[in-house]
Amino acid sequence: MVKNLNYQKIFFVILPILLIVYLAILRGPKEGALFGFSIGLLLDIFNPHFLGLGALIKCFIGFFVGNFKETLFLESIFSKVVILFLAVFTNDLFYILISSGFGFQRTFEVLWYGSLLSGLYTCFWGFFLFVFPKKISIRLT
Amino acid sequence: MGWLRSSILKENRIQVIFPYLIASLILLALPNSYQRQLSHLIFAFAYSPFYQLNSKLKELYQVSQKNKSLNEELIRLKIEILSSKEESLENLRLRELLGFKSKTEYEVIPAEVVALEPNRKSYMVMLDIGENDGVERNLPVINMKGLVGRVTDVEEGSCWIELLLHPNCRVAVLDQRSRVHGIIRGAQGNLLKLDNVPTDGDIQVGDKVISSGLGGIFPAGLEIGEVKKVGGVEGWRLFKSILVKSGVDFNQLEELFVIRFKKTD
Repeated sequence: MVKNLNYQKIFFVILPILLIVYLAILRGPKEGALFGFSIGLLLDIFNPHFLGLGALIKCFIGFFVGNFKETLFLESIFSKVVILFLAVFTNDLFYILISSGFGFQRTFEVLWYGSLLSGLYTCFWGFFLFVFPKKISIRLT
Repeated sequence: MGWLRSSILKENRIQVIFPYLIASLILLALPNSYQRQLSHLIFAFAYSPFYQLNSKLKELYQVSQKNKSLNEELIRLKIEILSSKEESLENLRLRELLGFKSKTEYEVIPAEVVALEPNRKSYMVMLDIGENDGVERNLPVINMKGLVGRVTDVEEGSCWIELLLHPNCRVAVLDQRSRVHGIIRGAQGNLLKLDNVPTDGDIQVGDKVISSGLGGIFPAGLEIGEVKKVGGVEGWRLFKSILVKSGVDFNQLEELFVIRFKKTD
């Protein structure tokens, strides 16, 4: 499982999702959707056969996470981390499901061997991303 | 999920996502060739500056690394020069103490090969310098790899060089490691033969052979070559049969240097 977590995975999946979720939580659904779409499109050009797919999925993720901001108790770090994990998982689920032509076996394999670990890895970094700015702002105030 | 749906629908937030949805679907529906072209376009617009920056940074890093290694080399060479100077001065002092004659100094005259002897077996080449440049008979000729030969005929603007491979050419040499003396002469091809080395002379394959300075034509210390083969130690022979490979490629002689003697005292 660990060997699937290479720098490509970190650069193309983990980091973008982390940024999208962070920005969506911070700014709301509009900005989340815009940022998700932009990042998705920039990453899609490395796989032009599915140009627009990553943009669409990440746009939805940004939008829904932005909506959570006002409906969930997102002051809790735990809920933010859970949302981050779900975002990574959802992104992988839809991208692989659609790009593999709804190959459920392949999707399951990728989710089980790759996304689970990358989700946890993202949560680990997300935890620091959510905790530290908050602590800094508290200190400043 | 009702709360989410009501939240989205209540404030008409769903409208936000429509343009992106449509744009994404259009992009997905595009033919492959268009998708590729569009990808290239986005790549050129969004990533190229970063790639250029990256390559420039890499270049800069490489230059800095090279600069660092060159600086180290420079310092090492400076130290070597200083130590050589020290040794040279010490040598001079010791020679003075012992009452030795001061060593002859040399100057080098650069020259280019302009002609080869038509009969290649005579191993002669012509240089573009002559009497006018201070060239005299019997002056040694070298290149970066070692001794090449000696001047045999001098004209006003040119001179003929007899190469080491020439059957008449003889050079007094010694083994740099064991200091065993001998005489070098042309053998077969580009190989040289080291004569007059007694069978008990300590010569090994790989030893450097340099001119000994005996005979007065060639100064001491000029590199001749490397011992390639040692034979003739069996039986009742008087001398060893030794082959030396010269560092000079006699088939590709271009720039040479004539060494001119300059007495200092």
